[in-house]
Amino acid sequence: MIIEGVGLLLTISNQGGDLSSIFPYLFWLALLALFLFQDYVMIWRYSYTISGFLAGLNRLITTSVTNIVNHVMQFARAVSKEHVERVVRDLMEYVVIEPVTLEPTGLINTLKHLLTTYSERVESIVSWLMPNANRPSIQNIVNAIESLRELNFIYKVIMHYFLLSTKYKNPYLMVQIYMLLPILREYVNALSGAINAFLKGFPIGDAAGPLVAFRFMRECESITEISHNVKDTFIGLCNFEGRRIYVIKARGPGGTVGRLDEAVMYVLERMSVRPRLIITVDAALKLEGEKTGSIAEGIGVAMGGVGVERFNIERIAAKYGIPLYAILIKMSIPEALSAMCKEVNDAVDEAVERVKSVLKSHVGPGEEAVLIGVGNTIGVSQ
Amino acid sequence: MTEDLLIAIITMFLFVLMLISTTIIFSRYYKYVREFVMGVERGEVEVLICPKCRYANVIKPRAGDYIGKTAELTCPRDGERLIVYAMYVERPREEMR
Repeated sequence: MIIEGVGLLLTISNQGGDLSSIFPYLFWLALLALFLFQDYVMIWRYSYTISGFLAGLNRLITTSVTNIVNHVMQFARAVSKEHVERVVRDLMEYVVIEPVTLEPTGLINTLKHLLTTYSERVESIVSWLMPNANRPSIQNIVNAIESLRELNFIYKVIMHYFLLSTKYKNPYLMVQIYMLLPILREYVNALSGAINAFLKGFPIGDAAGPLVAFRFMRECESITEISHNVKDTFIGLCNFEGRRIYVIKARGPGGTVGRLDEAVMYVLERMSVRPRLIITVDAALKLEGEKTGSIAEGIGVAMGGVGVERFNIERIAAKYGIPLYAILIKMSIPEALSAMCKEVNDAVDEAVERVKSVLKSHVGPGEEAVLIGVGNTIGVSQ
Repeated sequence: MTEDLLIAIITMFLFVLMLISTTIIFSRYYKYVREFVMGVERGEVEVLICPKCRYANVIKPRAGDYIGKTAELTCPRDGERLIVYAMYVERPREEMR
């Protein structure tokens, strides 16, 4: 059909026909070509945007690697910059293989074992690289590398589908990536913000929970730190208007989430404390339309992650019949991962008031309760 | 002659149109990449308070500071060392949703 059309055009031009009479044919030919090659046009159009996104993401990863390497070099042992970069890039590719779920018995313990092994392994590598650094600096670098690993994973997955789509000339794979780009871009920007915040040791939105614990302790009449053997975790005994409140949070100011479940077990089983209430405060993902910093209260354990710690706290609370109370500070994923914004900071003060109100109404003077500030405690001490 | 002139004008018009659209697309692309890599500048704030009288002082965050740290600055009212109470970023209004 195209050949016929071209033949017709040539005939008209050879006969010295009016040029304007060609335009309708040209129009229909163009429409036909567009119809026949629409897949290629779609691929071309979407690939332009996606390749732009991938180029930006690649530059972002390179810049982040350079920033992390420069930061590590401040405390590094006598090794070359290239060596440090190689180690950082190796850690960026580090994988945690999920346990087999066909036999679910003891799965939570297996998962916890794998995650603990992973974090200890990464931390030991970073500690080896930075013998002169203090523990918060090492924890911050570990957190930054984890965010970098996530960025790299996104890059590789998007690149995989982009190349597959190009290889098989399949526009529909490309369309799916294109539709996800705005969400991915937001997430990527959040991770990039997280890397910068971790390198600076600046509190992120997820630190809202530990910050509530910190500010609550400042409202107490007295505070005593309890010595224990739970890694990266703080347990304090606080006297709040005659009530004995055990405050648990990750030990700051380095970036860590602590081992809150083990701390709760320590308080309940090793110290034989029988609290009237366990209150958890955490940052929660808001839905579009919900206001950043709005607060929700409820029943249960407010805790994200893979669910290992939440499971352990739920189990021990059920064992002793202790009510679980949750206070959630709403924010989006970018706000949770990036430097803390003013709305979240203001919401922390309101959450402290809510905690005080719950304690006054549910826990009598002389009774005990546990308050857990859940989240990454970067930039927040105790 | 008039026809040739018309064709030349249309061609030039199309060329200029393509040039402008290409420039706009590329400038948007580079702006996107620059923002992507450099990030948007935001106002980071550190709030110091006096643990005794709650006097507050807002400063720019310094390297190594964290919430709960005892700062070098003292309270002008009672001479108590200030502690870092809050650290956050102030966002542009259009970013808030």
